[in-house]
Amino acid sequence: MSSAHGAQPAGERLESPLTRLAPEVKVVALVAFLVAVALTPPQRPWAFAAHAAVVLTVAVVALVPLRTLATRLVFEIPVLALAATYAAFGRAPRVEVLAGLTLSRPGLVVAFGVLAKATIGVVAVSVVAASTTATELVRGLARLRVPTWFCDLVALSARQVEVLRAEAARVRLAAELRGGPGRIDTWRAVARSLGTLFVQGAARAERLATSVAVRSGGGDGPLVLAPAGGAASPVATSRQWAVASVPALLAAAALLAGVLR
Amino acid sequence: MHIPDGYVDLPTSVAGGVLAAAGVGVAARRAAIVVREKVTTLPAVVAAYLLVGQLLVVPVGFGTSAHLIGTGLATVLVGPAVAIVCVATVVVLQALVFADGGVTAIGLNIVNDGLVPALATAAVVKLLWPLVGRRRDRFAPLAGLASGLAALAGGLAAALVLVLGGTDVVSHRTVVATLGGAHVVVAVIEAVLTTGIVATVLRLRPDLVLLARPAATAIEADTAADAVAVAEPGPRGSGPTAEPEPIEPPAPVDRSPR
Repeated sequence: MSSAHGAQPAGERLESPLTRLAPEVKVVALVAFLVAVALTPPQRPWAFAAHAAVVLTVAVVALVPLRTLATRLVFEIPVLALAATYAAFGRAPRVEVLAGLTLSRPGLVVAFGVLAKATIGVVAVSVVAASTTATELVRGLARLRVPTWFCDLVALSARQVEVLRAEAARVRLAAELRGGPGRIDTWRAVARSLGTLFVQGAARAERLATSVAVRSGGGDGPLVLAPAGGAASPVATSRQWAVASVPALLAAAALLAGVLR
Repeated sequence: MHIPDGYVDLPTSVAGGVLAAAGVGVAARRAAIVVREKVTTLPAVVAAYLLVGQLLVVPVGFGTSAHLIGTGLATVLVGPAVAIVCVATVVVLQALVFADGGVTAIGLNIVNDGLVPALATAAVVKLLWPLVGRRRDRFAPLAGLASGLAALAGGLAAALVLVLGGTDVVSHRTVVATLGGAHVVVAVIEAVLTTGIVATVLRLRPDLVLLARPAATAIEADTAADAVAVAEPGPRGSGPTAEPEPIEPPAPVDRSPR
């Protein structure tokens, strides 16, 4: 129930060594890393320290500001609540933490694992997202054989977010200028603004459909994305795959050490 | 809430991915979202609308604020099939671009936030709309009620996912009570905001509220007709903006969105 989507506008990227990697390489490396992290047993805190070291190193290489990473962590607030539930209501044995207050020991272990995995996940995604535009990410998905229509849809939405955000700012300004009930952040004002915004958005969709029909003509040819080999984003080489697999391999090593010990 | 990475075991995540891919594929086909291998523009704008709509927040006290989730709203406005595809788009963008919700949990989040609430909203509206005499002045509160119940259903689906693929450290009853309780609050917020938004749209452009149209039986056909109408191609463009053929063959519709 929080909103921090505005940390970095979709469609912008930081120029860094990560920018030169092909998007599909980054997506595969990200998923492989996250799977290794997800499989790590929560009873091995040092394995999570290793995962965190890996992801923070990549964040430094990618020149991601720590502030960006910190603002993204607000998405973890609901996870924090559930982790607290595990610690409070988990099964015995219980440990005393403060005068009379006891917490479940297995619950604490699970809570730690859940929070560690979620935090590492948020940082890992933020690092990749900061070095890649939304359109590039979608092109990466398309090269990974995700259906073309769905990739087009995601790319088109990413562009429309900026358009509608500007429209929302205008709706808000208009409401403020009218004076209205005073504050724009009341239930009624938010509902009215969102209703107006939908009507504007529907008109926008109609205009967009017309321009798409005019621009791309017949039934073939992509709607948004350049074809798979497009010049706009880097092409994956075997060297890129090798470099990008390093974080996932390190995470896999930590996972293996954690499972075997 | 969005399930983060590492919260649910891998088999459950993979099962969620398969279910989401199948559901989104069927929804896309039903709504005729893909016309001649091209996606239509309405779902993209609605998906962007949902993302932007979540930025408008209402303070609820205790330093926290609430915002719309919007699956129920989207279902009322554009029908369940288009809404499911929109939410899938939103979940993918949130996971990959905004780091909100796990990348490995994309499928599960599409099921919990898209498939379940969209179908629940459509079912409630379809069931209760005739009972209130299909009167337009009664539609907005009905839409609010439906989206509130849908948010609750989505929360229970998330609880079920955690029971199936989460930890056994706490009892299943505790998981369901915690997530269900939290979603009661979410459902009330959702119901209030959806009622207000739908009332506004009904006042400005009643034709844009698909589920409130008189011929409720013609919903799907209507959507399909609209989609074909907006996507009907003009003459093949030959200017500098005309793009070359895709190299890859078009993938089948029901492939995984990941």
